[in-house]
Amino acid sequence: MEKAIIALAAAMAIAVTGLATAWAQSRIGSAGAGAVAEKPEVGGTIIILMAIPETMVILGFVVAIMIILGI
Amino acid sequence: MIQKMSKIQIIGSRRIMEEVIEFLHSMSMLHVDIIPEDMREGISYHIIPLQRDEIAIKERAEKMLKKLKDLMLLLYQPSAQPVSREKRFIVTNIVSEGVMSDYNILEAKLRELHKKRSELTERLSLLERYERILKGLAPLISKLSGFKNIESTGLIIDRDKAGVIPLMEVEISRITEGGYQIFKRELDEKSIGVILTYQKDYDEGVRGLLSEEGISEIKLPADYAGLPFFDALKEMVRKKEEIPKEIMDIEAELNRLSDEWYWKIEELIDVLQDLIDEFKTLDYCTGTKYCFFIFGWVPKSYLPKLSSTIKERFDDKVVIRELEIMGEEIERVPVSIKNPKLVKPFEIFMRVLPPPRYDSIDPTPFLAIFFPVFFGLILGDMGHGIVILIIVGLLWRKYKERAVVQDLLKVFFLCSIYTIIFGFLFGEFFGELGERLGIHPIVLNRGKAIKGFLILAIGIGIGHVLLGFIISLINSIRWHKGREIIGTLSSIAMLFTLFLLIAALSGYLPKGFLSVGIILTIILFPIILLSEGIIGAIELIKSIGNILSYARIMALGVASVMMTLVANKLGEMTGNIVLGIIVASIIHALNITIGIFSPAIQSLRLHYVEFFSKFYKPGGRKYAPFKKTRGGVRLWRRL
Repeated sequence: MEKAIIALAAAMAIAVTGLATAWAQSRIGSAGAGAVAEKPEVGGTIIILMAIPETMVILGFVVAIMIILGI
Repeated sequence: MIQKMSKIQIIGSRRIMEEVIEFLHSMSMLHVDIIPEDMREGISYHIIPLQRDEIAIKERAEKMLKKLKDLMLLLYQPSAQPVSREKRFIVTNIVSEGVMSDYNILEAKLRELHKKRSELTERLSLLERYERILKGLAPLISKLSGFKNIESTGLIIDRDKAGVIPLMEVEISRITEGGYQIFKRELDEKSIGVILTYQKDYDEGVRGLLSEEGISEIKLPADYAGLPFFDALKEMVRKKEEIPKEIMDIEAELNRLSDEWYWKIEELIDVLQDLIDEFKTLDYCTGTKYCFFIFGWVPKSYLPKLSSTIKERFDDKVVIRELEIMGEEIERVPVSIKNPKLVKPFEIFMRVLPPPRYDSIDPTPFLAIFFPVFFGLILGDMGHGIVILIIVGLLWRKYKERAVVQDLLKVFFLCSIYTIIFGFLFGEFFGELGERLGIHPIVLNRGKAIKGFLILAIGIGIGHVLLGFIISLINSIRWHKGREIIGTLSSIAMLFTLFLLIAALSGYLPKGFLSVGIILTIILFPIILLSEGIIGAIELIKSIGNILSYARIMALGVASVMMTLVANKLGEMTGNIVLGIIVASIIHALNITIGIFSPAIQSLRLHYVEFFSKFYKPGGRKYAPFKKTRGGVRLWRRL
């Protein structure tokens, strides 16, 4: 039972942050696509902006690992 | 690295002002600037206005430039560039109306050719839409040749309704009293093309029947609407064969004109641009009755050469004065970045950011050190590294002429080397295939030692973020910014204190360190608040997030290992060597493709967001020297 709760907690840590990242990236992505259409030279910046919300899921991943490994 | 700049003032005799400006233009070193207000005090400087003939030349040059730029859009760029032989350009010539007459004739000719070509292309694409019909019915055209006083019409009938044709034939035979002919031919799998010919006298009856029965006639393009169907078809076939040749002739003429004119016009555009730039620079010149002043910036390393060349050319008639850069001027100092050959390719990643301020630090050398390391740590597979190295080698030859691609390839060359090194340290060669070939992990096994890898990534984060703070500290010391020095020092100390507290709370250090940490926090926190304000406190919390963000090195690294594991396992599961290799290769290829983009983007992000935020101050003005586009061409403005 305890194992299942640990697994569920780790999954939640990833799932919630994953959803949050996806939502942020969808907003940045659509705005970025518009910006690139008008100014193709900002393409590089948009790619970097797209990578910024990934911190959330990375932190979620770290938390999940900590939960599983019991750190 | 940001080059040291010198603030200079050039003073000379008014009589040789134009000559000096042209000389400075060809030297391409001086960043001309507006004379600061404080320097105007005490001396009655005034802007030197352009003379009437100069205004006329400038306006004419601007008009010509616009026209020539438009003209360039109508020409193709020929492959070979001829060596320019024109070394002097008589500027006053451009004021005469005659100089543009050749270009006006050329423009009219080019516009006519382009118009004709677009009309022909449009007509051809229209005819191509009738391709199916023309192709299907063309063989019938020869059969129909020689008929006179007949009307013809084309029909398309669906193949599944082919039964209607005999019934229609009966009806038409009745209307035309047997004076008709019908030709059928399959157009494609779905439809049959039919041409119906009959005497003109029966036209009304036949069309009435077709309309009554709802059989639709083939609608031809408007150009052919007035012709009988048969004649229109014949004309369309003829035109379709002729148009490509006509287009080719136009293209050949455009190529000939481009070969003749493109480089001439390009050269003239450059010369005119240079001329306009010189006039614009005159706007920055101030003067008294007898002398002129030009104010600007040059990299300190260029100053001796500039001074000696001016001395050689103008002797004592022109003097260069180096002025002290005042504290409040720092933001206005143009920034010139010069990096060693090995670091230079990484400047490509700095183009997405605004230039750094003069009192900041150019982060390119740090990017050149850490970017390939992070890339290698994330991808960390000898096999993948070798594949990237091969791709770089192949593309190197193909894109020898393109500087941007060359820079990127140099960066990825270094990345592939680090990927191979880390692959060796992690014992990975296309995943665990290395283990089977006798390559064992030296540092850690990324697939299994997840905790160890996470600690390594966070450790790298601590080191990298601290390095950012140290760079900021050194820079603050260099520029004597006392407040910033205290702020950065207390931030570093506070960061250590936080680690101390975390380590003491999680039992890695004895509990006694907890009280040390609390005392240090009580001392350091107000210092941060006083030196950097509330932002400093927020920045400190952000730094913890910045450090944890380096966990992405581990996360993406593990993901890469898992992908290779999946590739190899799926390959094994096929039970066939050839099929297994194919399946594994496809997934490995996918992993390498992801492996090129993802580590590059994530490494860049770690630099831009986590590392640069500690010391990088954007908002600098880029050093833009007053530079001749067409070097070696002399502009003779005064004759």
